[in-house]
Amino acid sequence: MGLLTLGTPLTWSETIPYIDYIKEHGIDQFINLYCRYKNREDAQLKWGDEIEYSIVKFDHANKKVRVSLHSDEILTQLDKQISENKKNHKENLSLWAPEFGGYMIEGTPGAPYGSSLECIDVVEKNMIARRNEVRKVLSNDEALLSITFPSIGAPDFTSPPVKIKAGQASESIFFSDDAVNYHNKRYITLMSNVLQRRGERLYSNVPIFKDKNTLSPFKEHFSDEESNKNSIPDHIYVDHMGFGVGMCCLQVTFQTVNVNEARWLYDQLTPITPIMLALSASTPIFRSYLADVDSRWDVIADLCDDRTPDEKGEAPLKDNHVIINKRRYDSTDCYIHPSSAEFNDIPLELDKKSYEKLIKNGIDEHLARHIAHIFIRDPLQVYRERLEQDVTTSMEHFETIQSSNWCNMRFKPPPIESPEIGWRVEFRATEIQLTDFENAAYCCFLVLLSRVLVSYNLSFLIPISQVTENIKRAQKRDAVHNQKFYFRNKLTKCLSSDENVQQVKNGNCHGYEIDEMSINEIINGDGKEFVGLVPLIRQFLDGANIDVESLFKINRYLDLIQDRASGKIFTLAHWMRDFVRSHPEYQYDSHVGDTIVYDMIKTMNEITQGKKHDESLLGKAPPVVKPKEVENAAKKEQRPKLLCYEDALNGQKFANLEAEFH
Amino acid sequence: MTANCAWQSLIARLHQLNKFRLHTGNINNYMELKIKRFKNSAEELITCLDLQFPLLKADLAVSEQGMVLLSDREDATTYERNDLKITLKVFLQEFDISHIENAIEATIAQLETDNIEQLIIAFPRPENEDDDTEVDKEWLVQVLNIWSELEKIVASGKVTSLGVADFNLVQLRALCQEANMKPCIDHFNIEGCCVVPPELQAYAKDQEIQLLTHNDPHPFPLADVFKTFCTLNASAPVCSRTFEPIWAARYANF
Repeated sequence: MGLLTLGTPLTWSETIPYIDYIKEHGIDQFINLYCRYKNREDAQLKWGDEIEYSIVKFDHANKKVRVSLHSDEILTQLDKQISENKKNHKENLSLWAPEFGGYMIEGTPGAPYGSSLECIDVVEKNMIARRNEVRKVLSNDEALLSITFPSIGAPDFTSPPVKIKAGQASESIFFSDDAVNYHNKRYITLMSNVLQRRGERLYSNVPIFKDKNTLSPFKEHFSDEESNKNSIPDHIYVDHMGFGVGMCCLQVTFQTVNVNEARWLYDQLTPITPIMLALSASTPIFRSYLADVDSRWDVIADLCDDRTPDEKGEAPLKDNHVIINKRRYDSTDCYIHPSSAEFNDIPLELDKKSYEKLIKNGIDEHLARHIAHIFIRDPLQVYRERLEQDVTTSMEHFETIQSSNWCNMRFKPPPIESPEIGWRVEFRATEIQLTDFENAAYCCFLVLLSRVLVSYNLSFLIPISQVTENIKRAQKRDAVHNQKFYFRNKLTKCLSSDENVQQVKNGNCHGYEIDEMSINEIINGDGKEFVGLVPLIRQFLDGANIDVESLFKINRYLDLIQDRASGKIFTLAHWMRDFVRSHPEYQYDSHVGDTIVYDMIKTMNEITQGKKHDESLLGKAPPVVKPKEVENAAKKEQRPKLLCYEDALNGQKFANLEAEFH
Repeated sequence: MTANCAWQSLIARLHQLNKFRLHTGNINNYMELKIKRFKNSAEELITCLDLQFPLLKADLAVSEQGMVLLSDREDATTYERNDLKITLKVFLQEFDISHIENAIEATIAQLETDNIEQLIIAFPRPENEDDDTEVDKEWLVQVLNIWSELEKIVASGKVTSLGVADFNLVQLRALCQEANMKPCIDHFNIEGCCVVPPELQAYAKDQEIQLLTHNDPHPFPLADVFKTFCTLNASAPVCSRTFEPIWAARYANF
């Protein structure tokens, strides 16, 4: 999560008198920033990944696994190492940050990766090294997993156990507020302010997977009336923000060469977000029940929804409110590059004062609409000590609103305090993957796709309302095989805005149509005129003169994506659902018992560590070399000098890995 | 009909030249070429030519240096020279340094620059090409002759680094031992096989030679590709014996 600052956060009622002030100054800050950096040019494309992890604790004797509420201590230790490195002028391989759950941490590379194709080789090594850094400070029965823990909110899901206190801010009947990260008060404050503004409990109803013996209708009975009222039949009821933002995901940020390219890339990647969401699906279990969805998206969106009933259209409007169609965690409502204007077919709610001020100060209408739309949301995290800010040196009022609009893409201006960082776009839709190999593969696929988009000047833009619809479809169970998505059925170059107008007027007669295509057709080609995103990337690489090692690695990544899309191998969501349903203790009633969770998490941990390999999830195993063989083979020159999956993870080779990396 | 006229006129003009050069222009401008993934770059080139010939205009220009630009699509973007790395690969049918020099000059002129970063030469194959254990001595001598000329070109600043294509371990080793300037690159065709011979990889790493990948067929089927040029227009089959393809080159800006 964005804003990470210390100080005294204001409660919601304390924030209300300052809302207009903050919005006004936030806009001033943006205007100031835009004018300062609008002509900024950075030498090359850079990028980085963000992985969210859950820390789990095994109770092997009782075949139970829980989340471990130790992320604070672990972060303290990791931060010590980071400071040590800084003192000794050593580069930091990774940087760490807290997250909402007291059992979560977020890791990023110490420095952004470059744009050359050779840099792709470094990504997986960095991710593996990151995990190893944390493993050093975990206890023996703890493990670090890049997954969404399936039993969040189920009874006794934390270690140490925390009680649900009567009158806790969330009023959740499943999730104790003490399981939220107490690194600083910001997370609890954020949640409290959402609840206060909203005026009622946060909850989401996730469609349950109806299995042979599942109660029909499936309806839980709770001791408290409101929970009974809010939960609906055949759904899994979840009622704490932690059910949402306590889930993990994978994010990729690109730094572009200038603001124009950032706006262009932001638009071009937008139609790709639902494709990646379906392809990366990894969240099929909520509160220990099998769901009929494979993704976290709508659940988090519901659990961050700060709209009042009247803003949702459920009651007559009051307090100068307007109807707001989407939640603040949701898919985007507009493209921002001038050439994309014709594809903006969703009416935007705008903060009028903000819009007028932006236009008056020279911001063009396309960008102004985007910023004014973000600014319809009220600030939820304001710090008493920094209410007054110098708009020329601080961005905090802008950032507090910008970073609490959680969408599938984010457009990020250069931060005012870090002159080496430029205009960036963040791709936020991808679900987290189990292994570093997969996480690297999904990142690299995205990076390569961006390179191809920029090099060939391609466009995949479709009306933004269709992207919204695609995001809905992408979350359904096995969407990667069963759903079709609006997508251009031919490769086309990006047109100017005039050409786009003509295009839309003439009903797209410039050579493409928007079809509803399956993920397999989009990724691997439709056998007709659409070559497919993976063959397109391979074509690009044919002429790119990359070295053999990098190409070998990239090919393995592209094979993974290709096989996930064709169904040859499973998404993690599908794999997890299958694991549960073939477990001897499963009763075919959609409930995932403790032993099943324990066995599943244990298996997932073994796969992550390279101790087990599951072909149905990962495809064929890479050449695996045991340490002893490596020593002997060096003399025989038998072993290919490629970084094999297993030897990077083996402690014995770790020293070599570090030396190579630095 | 138009193609026929353009064709006749072009052939007539070309007949008057001693030699000429066909230039495809930037093939990335042709989205039609992205529809499928080609088996290799020769196939891609043939498809490109197939695409371009029917669109030729009657007044197609032949430049003073004998260059015929086949592309009708303008390149909108210009780039900063510092941002680009230019790689030129020349496919030789015979050991003749002048072909390479012509290719370099043509590329430099076309791109309006004064140097290129990487020059890769695909030499004609030796007699014993399937023999992994020994170098064909006669072939090696010819390679070395060309190579010493190439070293002069590097010294002149026109080219920054040199590379070879599809050299196996013994060939690469022989060149490194005999030449003044080692090649920086061995262009390696990764089609079909996933694993590079480990000894080659070890040697390359040791000598700081990059093993970069390509999907050009080796040897480049120059005659076949050129047949396209000659047989496309059935009613004007004038050139099969008249024109003999001498070299092909591919360059990329990255």
